[in-house]
Amino acid sequence: MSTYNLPKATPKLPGAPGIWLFVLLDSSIFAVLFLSFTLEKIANPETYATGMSSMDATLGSINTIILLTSSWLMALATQEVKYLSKANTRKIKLLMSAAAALGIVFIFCKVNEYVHVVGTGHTLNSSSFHMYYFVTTGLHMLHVLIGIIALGLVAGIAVKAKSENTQHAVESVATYWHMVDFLWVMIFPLFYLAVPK
Amino acid sequence: MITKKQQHNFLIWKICALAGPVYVVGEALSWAWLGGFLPPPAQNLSADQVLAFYTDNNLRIRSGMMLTLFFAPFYYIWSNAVSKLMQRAEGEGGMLSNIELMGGFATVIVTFASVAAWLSASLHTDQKTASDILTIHDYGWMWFNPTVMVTFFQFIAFGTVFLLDNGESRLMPDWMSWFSYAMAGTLLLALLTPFFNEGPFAWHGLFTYYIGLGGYFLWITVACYYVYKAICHLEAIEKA
Repeated sequence: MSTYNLPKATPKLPGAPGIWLFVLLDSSIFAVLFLSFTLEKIANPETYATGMSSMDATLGSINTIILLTSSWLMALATQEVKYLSKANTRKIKLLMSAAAALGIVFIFCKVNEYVHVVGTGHTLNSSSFHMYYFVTTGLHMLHVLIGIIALGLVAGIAVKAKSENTQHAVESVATYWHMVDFLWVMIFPLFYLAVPK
Repeated sequence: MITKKQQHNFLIWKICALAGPVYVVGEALSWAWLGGFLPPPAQNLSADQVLAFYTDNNLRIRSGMMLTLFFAPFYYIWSNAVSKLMQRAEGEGGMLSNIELMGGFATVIVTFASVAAWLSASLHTDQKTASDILTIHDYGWMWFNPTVMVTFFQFIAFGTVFLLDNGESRLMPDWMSWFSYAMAGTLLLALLTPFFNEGPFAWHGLFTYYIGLGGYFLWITVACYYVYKAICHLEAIEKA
């Protein structure tokens, strides 16, 4: 296992400063979505309890583990890129490719879940719960898809170049990927676990 | 040293850039306030309620929509100024500045189509059935909301050009690119309107109308300021 001389802590945010504005705005939209869903859930506990009974918590748990693992791999890539002059670019590319591959597995599981939910007769207009379920998880899946493309592009172009922008690009895409992971960590208990009484 | 012709070009460029604020204020006053589309008529109104909306506010709607048609082209005039600025950042052979320009034009066409539908619904209301008016009214909204991708690509193109701009004198702050991406994301919510008649994703809902459309106008307002500032910056460089 490689050892690092940890750099001194600096007040600088990782990645491009603008990515943090994006994270703030994008997360705010999801926050409004979560709040709106929770208020509806409190107002209509029976409808939401029935809706949540169509959810597969096991599949949701598997997806959570997949995204958390993917985020961990991305964190390792970010750690490696901090020492760019000594960095093993092959390792960074491998870690980022593995993170992206787990994103693809997540989408595969999610599509399977949609097929199962639709198969049991629930669609976008079935109930208020299913409206929020399909819209929220659909928007999240779109974020995963964009993240996979971004991971692929940065792994393929920026890391290869090993320029001074490489660290910036890897940290930016990692910030985005952690946000996607964080959003799922909020979605999972809200839609799969917290059944209203 | 700047020539007289270049001076004239910058003047016209600045005038085009000022079309942005004219568009924002003009549309807010004509479509939202005068036309009575703030708040908009709800998506779950019955045919009789929609008929009442058009008969009770007939003159307001016609005046508002006519003025909306007047102010809408200011958007592509402004998009032209933005596109030229993007061309400076990406170079002559760049493609993204064309997407900006075409997106600006397409957004105006989409506005024309939806407003023409609402204007048609307000004409000869005494000779139309409530069902006729409901159909035309829905048609207008289907032009207005689910066609949002034309503007979405404008926002993405804008963000990408300035994010990739590594020139010595950057024309746009870095955060503006990320802001564009976030606002483009809010536009996507409008694609959901055909699936819901009520709730937060209907055309009058929190996400589609207030966040989606609000994000669109917020982006243009912020971009207006930075685009004008960038043109002044370029002019100062050329003068020096």
